[in-house]
Amino acid sequence: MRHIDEIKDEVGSLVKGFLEKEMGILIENTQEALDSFSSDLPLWIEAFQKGEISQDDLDYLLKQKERTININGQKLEAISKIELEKLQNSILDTVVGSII
Amino acid sequence: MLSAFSKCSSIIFGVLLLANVHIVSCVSTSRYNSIAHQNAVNLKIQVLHLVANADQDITRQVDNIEHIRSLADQAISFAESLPDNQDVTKLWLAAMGEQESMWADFVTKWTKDSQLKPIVKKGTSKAFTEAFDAIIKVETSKIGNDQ
Repeated sequence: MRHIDEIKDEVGSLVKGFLEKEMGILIENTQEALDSFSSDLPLWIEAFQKGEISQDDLDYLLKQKERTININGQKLEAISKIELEKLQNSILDTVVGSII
Repeated sequence: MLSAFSKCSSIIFGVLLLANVHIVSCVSTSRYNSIAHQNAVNLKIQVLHLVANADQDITRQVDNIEHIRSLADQAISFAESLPDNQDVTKLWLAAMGEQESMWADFVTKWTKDSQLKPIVKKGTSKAFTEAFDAIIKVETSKIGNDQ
């Protein structure tokens, strides 16, 4: 039987690892979305101003960009749930392992 | 006496924590599925190949479009059939659903214009790449979550 402080420390470190991973994923995805938007948008606007693409083309590209941003948001939500379940299982393993 | 107390408190702590984990989280997601993963990789390649040909007249790609539509329907149905897989199904529908999706917008635009301009093709290719990468990333995130 392990001491209660050991279990608390282990669970604490699992939660800390989970939060660090989640924050990392969030920051990385936000940065990627900003980079993608800031690289594409000026090009599209310039092409539209030069008459290389129509209003309909620009609307279409912006709509696809909006869909991409929504999909990336849904991706983050789905990954968070998966990582949360992994954390849940790890905590269960730690606690059950300490009792048995 | 102290040792018995320590054991007892560990058990109580364990039981409370188990109950807490069970009540608070109750998160349940689907397990990793290699077929679902493969579906996303295959369709990504096929869709990007089709987009690369979107500077051609759409009438030359009708068979290819129908083939990809059929593969997408199969992949969506498969995703829907997996338990606790609503999040991935939502991603599939946003990318490749028959209506209100990236795919639907692409086919509508191509049908209307007959041929897509290079900058439009490039934007479409990038959008599909990110959409499929999102599905693949979620699917591979499930690896190791086997309990």
